[in-house]
Amino acid sequence: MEGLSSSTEPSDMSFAELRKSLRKFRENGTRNAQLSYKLGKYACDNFSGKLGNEVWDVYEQMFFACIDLGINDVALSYLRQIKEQFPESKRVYRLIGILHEADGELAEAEELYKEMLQENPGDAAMSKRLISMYKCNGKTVEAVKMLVSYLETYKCDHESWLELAEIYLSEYEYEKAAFCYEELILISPSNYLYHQRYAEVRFTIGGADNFLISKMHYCQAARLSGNSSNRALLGLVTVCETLKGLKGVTAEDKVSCFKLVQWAKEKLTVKYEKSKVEVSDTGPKKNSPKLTDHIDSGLETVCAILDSVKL
Amino acid sequence: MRDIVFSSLALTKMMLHSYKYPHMPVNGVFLMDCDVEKEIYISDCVPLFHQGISLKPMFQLAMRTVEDYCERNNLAIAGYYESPDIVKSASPSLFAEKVGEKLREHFKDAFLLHNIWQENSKFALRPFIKESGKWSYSANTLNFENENVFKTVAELQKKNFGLELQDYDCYLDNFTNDWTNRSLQEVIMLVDAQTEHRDQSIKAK
Repeated sequence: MEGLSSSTEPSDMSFAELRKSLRKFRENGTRNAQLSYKLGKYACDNFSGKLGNEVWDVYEQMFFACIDLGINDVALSYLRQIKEQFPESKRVYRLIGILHEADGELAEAEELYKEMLQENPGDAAMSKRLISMYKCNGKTVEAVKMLVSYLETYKCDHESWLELAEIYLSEYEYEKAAFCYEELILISPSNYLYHQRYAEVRFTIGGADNFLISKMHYCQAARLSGNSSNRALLGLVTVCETLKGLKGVTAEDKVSCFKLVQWAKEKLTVKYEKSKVEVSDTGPKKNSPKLTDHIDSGLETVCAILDSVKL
Repeated sequence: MRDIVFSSLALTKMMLHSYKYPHMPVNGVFLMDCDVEKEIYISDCVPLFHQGISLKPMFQLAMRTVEDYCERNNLAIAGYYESPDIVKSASPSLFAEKVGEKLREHFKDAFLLHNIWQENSKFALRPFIKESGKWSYSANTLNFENENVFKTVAELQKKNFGLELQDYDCYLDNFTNDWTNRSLQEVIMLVDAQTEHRDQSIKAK
């Protein structure tokens, strides 16, 4: 199996590349335990001096990677080193709570979080820890209650609105999820992802009114993404096709659907063709036609939808 | 009902999908080979999404794309799998049941696979079929073409091939991502042949 491995080897990377990768993972909140652990361990074993004070961030990163990989004893060893360096830190107490949770000691974790919150009720990170714990252990009612109360204070916290929306979606409470996305759109109206997701939720609820709202937000998402979002374009096509077949939709709206579908078709065809060229260029020559099969089948399905939407 | 037999390709893709997104819910469909009559032979699997699982628009589009693909290749959608990020129940979700109903309109023996972590830290594949009007757990339904399929999965996961898997979500992000996973298929077949052969040569001794 030599030569068939698809992994990134830290021994092939320079210290600068290693550090850059680890920093990028921390900045983006990327959760790829195996890779983070491999790179981080190599960096700590071989370059701990060069890392300087950054080593504590890396140790925290390693702690999280270990928890995700299920090697809690190794996580504990990293936690001990961090605790020794920062004995009174609230951030460290959060890590202790996380380790309790990972070890299945839920009562201890809950007690720790509640104690910290009593001392410092405004500690957002600690609140989020408790909410996450409730969510992961099926205590949805407690999680929602606490999250709603948290959001009354921290109204502009994107992450929390997104979390609440996800919980509502998992419980099929689509109207409540829609409300969360409406709040997110109000906070950040130029973020096309929120419009897109809101359109998806409205589509899922269904009914002519909701499809019309969905169409509006798909248009906005497409526009804000510079007409590049595949989901917005495809969503637009899907919602227009649905509207065209519905009673109770005005003739004006149906004409608008037809025009939008033609416009989306133009944009999508260009993207499909570009993707086909890219795949053919990078793939092995002998199999060229087959490699673009998945793009062709996507294009065929969409064209079938597009052609069915007539004036 | 005929026996359901999973090819290594189908099962491996499903497992790698879960491995690639361990902290997210995943779902996908199983494709059956229409040429095989004596059993329901699940020859392939299409991993679909790793977020927005209960939302309709992209799911409907994905299903239509897969249906068209099946028609061209003499396949049929025979089953649906889901692996929720938070285990609320040992039974399939409402959304899964609805999908199952839709699948049964075209193929009456359509089944659901509900994959969850259990209390004993084991990852369980739980098949459900509909009988007497409700979806019930059917332990005997899980048959594997290669008994060593989980060794195949372990080998591939060790070498990080899980990261190469592209689901329909990845395709929606970028059309160049191949949701049919053609290049990964070759690797899976190669490793599977090795694990099958290894076991046979041990048995021969």
